[in-house]
Amino acid sequence: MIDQKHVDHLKTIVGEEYITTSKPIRISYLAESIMDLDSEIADVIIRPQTVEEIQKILIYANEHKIPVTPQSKGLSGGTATPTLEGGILLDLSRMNKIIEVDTDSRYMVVEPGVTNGQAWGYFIENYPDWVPPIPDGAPAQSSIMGNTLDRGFSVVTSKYGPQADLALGLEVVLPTGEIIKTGSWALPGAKPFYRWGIGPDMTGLFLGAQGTMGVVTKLATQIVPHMPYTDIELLGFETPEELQDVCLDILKQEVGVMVQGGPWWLVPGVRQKEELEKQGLLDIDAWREKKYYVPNYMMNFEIWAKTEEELKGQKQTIKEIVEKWKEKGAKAEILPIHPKAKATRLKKPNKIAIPYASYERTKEHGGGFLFITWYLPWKDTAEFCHICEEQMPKFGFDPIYWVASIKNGRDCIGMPIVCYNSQDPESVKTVNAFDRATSKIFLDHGWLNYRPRKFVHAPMMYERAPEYYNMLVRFKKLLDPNGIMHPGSLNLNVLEG
Amino acid sequence: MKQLEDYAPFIYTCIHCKFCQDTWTDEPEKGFPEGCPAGKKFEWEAFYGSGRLQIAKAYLDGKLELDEDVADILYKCSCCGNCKVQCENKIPTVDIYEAMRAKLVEAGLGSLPAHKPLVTSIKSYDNPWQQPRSGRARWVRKLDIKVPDIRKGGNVLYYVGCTAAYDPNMKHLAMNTAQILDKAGINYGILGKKEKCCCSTLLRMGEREVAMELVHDNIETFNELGVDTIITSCAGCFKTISQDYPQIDDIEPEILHTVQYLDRLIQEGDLEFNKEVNMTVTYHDPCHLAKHNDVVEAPRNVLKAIPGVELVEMKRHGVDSWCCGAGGGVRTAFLDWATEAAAERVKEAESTGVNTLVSACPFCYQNIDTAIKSIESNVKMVDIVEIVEKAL
Repeated sequence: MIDQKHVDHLKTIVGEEYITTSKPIRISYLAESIMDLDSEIADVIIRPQTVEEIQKILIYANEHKIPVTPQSKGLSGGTATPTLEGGILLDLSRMNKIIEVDTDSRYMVVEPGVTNGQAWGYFIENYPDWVPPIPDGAPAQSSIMGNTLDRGFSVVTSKYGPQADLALGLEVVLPTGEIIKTGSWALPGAKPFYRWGIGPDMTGLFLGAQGTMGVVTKLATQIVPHMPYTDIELLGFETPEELQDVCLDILKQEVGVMVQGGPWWLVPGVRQKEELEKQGLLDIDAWREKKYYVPNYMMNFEIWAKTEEELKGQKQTIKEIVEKWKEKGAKAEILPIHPKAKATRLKKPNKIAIPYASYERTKEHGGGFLFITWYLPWKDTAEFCHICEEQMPKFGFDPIYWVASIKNGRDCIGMPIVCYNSQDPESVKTVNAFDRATSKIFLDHGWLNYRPRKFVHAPMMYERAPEYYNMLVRFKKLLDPNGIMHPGSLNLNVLEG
Repeated sequence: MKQLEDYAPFIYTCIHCKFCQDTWTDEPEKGFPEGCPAGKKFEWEAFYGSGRLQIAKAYLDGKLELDEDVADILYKCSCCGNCKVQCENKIPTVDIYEAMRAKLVEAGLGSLPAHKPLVTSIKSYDNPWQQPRSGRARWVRKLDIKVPDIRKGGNVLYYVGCTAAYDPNMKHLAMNTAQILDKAGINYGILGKKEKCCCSTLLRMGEREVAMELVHDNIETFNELGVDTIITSCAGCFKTISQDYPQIDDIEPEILHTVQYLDRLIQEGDLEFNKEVNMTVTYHDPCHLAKHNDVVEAPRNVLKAIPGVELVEMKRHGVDSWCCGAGGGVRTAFLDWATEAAAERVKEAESTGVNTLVSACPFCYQNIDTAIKSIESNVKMVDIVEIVEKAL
């Protein structure tokens, strides 16, 4: 626990109103779901508003070796910055300004607390021809900054890559109190128009760093055109191989801004299992008997176009490729999509990911879910599907998982959606056991966890890449000599001993 | 009534996604305005539904004991239900907060000192306004029609509620309702001096023990009357009698809010408007109607049926409305904050370009009217029955 003298000093920096040691308030920041299961209560929560305040807090914390965990406003999965070692939790939600939008160089500059909903609404009102890169399926209250730093998924990832790929520059306060800018921003007076800046580029040190290197206080990120014509094409397949190969052919034509799907289990997955069991709807044939057409595997192609003709052209491309595969014997087809389902999908931000939490909820116990996300080459998608379908039932989980395209099918983001009973410690242990077992398999395939958990992915991944890890630790020591930044996260706690 | 532990499956299902912090409309072009008055005011995560559920979870896990900090957080909530409406996992957030407040009361930490006169008043006088029982039906004297005593017969009990019955600025609401029922030829009546507080405020504040005696009295009275329908002016009374009472005991008559009853009369041709009322209005959805009971269309149907009335919607409307800030004991304990929240609503009404703000709840009316005066707005507060009565 932080000494009162430290709290008193920190009050002089931000003012008494913006710092608290209240236990229920500290508890309210716990993040034990969606992206991670491990979270401890911070000793003190501080809500700074300026870069100068953050600078002073970090200098003081560094001097007194007090751990600091920054939290922008919540990540793509909500409040997903678990505090692992107590200390200070920096709630950056007061830093919520959209500082600049440049529609010629096509970027915007935001503070950490700018939320998806705020940015989306701001653009609708002020720049309706442009789209801020917000995560798909993530809460309106999660932040642009958080999702970028986490290298998360955005509404246009199938076309433009993970949100981190859109980053053009960062402003970072280091624990030493130094402030650096990356990209072309590093040159005083320069706009943040060029990611690689005055090089070598340092931006990457802070992307995927989970707040272990410093506090990012400004982000310049690309914005993309908001197309007036949009639609969804739903494709059904009999096998994962068909899903993988047919979609790849379409994606190679650069069709689709958001292309995602998975097994039929995604359909019951957003409902309550207890109720489905009563209705006999945990079986794909039962769904089909009720006149719901549910393919074994499905992919939604969200397509955007400047004109109606262009939209039709993209749909025609999809149709022709599906027909070509059908002629070769593939069981692939374009399916009708219910208007309500289409509207839900096209709405941004949307709530589609949230109901998985209710799948395992019963009258007796709670539900919950963990997204365990992996990046892999698209051509490994079918293999990923097979592994999920083999491994998830072994641990007692229904094979609910999700796959999506990155950059026109260069890569795949694959994600077991582990629905569990969060009220039962044994169920939590099983989730961890599943995560460890599949991590070994996935790492053996050369796939990467996108948001490594401290106790699972980080040690398993870095032990396979000791040279990279050792270099990373040296960078960490350079930027954070006393190891105060989000200690333990990414397993970079070697500084302690 | 359900205890906090009964809600454990829901509490543990909260994944802290924060969807509950915004209003979430089906119209993306509106953007995503803030929806939680407590979160907006106090800003710490604990004051949003997402934070409150982490607190509830920690309490159930034995990691948190109830104390004054917990009480402070839990009572700074208008129980509007935005978090409940927005939750895709259908977590009954407000029921959970109220069950936690009941725990605080049991622990001697609730309700707040500012609430105590209200609690004492209900115990002593069957109303929260520290007024004598004998004054409950005084509003009747100002009418030139006879308002029947339901105990002498009638199919419809008009349950006036404490605010419309006692607040001098609200009595016109009761009077207008009686005039409408009279003109429509409804076989109705009131309980007069025998009417007792529905205990909405007590239940919202966790004062279950104090509430129980009155609630049982009311249920017994309602069932003994033999009426078909009970109608209420107050959205809080409606929520309490229709949703809370059945958890305590069976209640036989159908429970409707006035706007639902008027909508029905209009649909069935039993209420016809003879006069044109040239007004352009915007409508504030009381939380206890829209968010807690999904009564969204009925008041709009009524307004649209009145000749000459044009309805202009605010950005946040229906289940996505911004709360006026009065509920859950907030107006009693935190008047400035309640007024501030209502002022935001008044400004939103102003932004429509309309200067008449209509609602269907005396408690919303009272609070919004306070805000109108505090910010010296030109907006005029009106209850829907005032417009209906004018058109008859």
